[in-house]
Amino acid sequence: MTHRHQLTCSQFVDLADAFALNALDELEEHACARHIVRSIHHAGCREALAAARGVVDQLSTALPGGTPPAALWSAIEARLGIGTGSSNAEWL
Amino acid sequence: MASLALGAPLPLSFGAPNIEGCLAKFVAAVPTGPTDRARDRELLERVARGDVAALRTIYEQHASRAITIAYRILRNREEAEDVVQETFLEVWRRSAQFDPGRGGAVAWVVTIARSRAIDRLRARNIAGRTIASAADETVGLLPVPPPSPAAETQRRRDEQRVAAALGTLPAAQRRTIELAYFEGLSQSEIAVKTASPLGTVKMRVKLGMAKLAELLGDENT
Repeated sequence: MTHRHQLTCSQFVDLADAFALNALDELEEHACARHIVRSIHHAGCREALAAARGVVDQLSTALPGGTPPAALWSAIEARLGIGTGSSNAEWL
Repeated sequence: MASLALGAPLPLSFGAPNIEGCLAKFVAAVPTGPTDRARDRELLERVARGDVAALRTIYEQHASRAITIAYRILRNREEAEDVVQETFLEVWRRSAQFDPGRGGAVAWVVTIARSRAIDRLRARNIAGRTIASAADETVGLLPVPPPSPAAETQRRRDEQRVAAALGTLPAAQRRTIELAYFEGLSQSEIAVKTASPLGTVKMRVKLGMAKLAELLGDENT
């Protein structure tokens, strides 16, 4: 697959499961991303991707929780450059 | 493992996003229950209006899973923490784009964290080292404090349901899905790690995902 390879809908559907899993190699992943974002007409692409993403999202619910360090939230606030109650408008 | 030190100063890098990849990653996700979705929507609407307290609520609910998936993929505590930071910065910036019809906040947050972790893994080009070390390494996060009884009940129910679905897969399919999802390996990397032809790995992904969709499908509607 070349960098600018244009996927057909059939090819995309075939790759949808691996794409949803982030398990494609870089060129295939970029080709899939371009196809789903840029193509106007699809033949089952969005449905196939939605189904695959549904499975992937189900897997996320099975993750056990680790404990983030107490300082992590403070670090996020610092990177946002705000304090509680501020606006996020600067990012939009 | 580079470091397990906690509370150390966190790096402030913020990698440039792959826009196409980001857009495509949010095309669809899975709904949680109606009550959860309504609550998620309300929280993220508040975040979009600049309510940091709402962002913190989402953080408190989902950061534990975000750091778990980031750590499982990266095997480095500091990098996992940085990924969680980037994840919640992205939630902050993109909250207006959250669509509760496509899935719950937990799936959204974990998807962002997992994508960022995989981006880092592949960017630092240590996949070979990770593959070699992943099989024998025991992943250890801090002990988890007791969650609320209701949250723990739901988490265990979810975990058991997904584990049961994974358990129905043939061993090779299950291992392939686990390596892709929980370790962040690509199909090519899985082929190397399992000494299997790439075509076989691709077929295992397709068959495994199809079976999981069938088994978990009721939760997707």
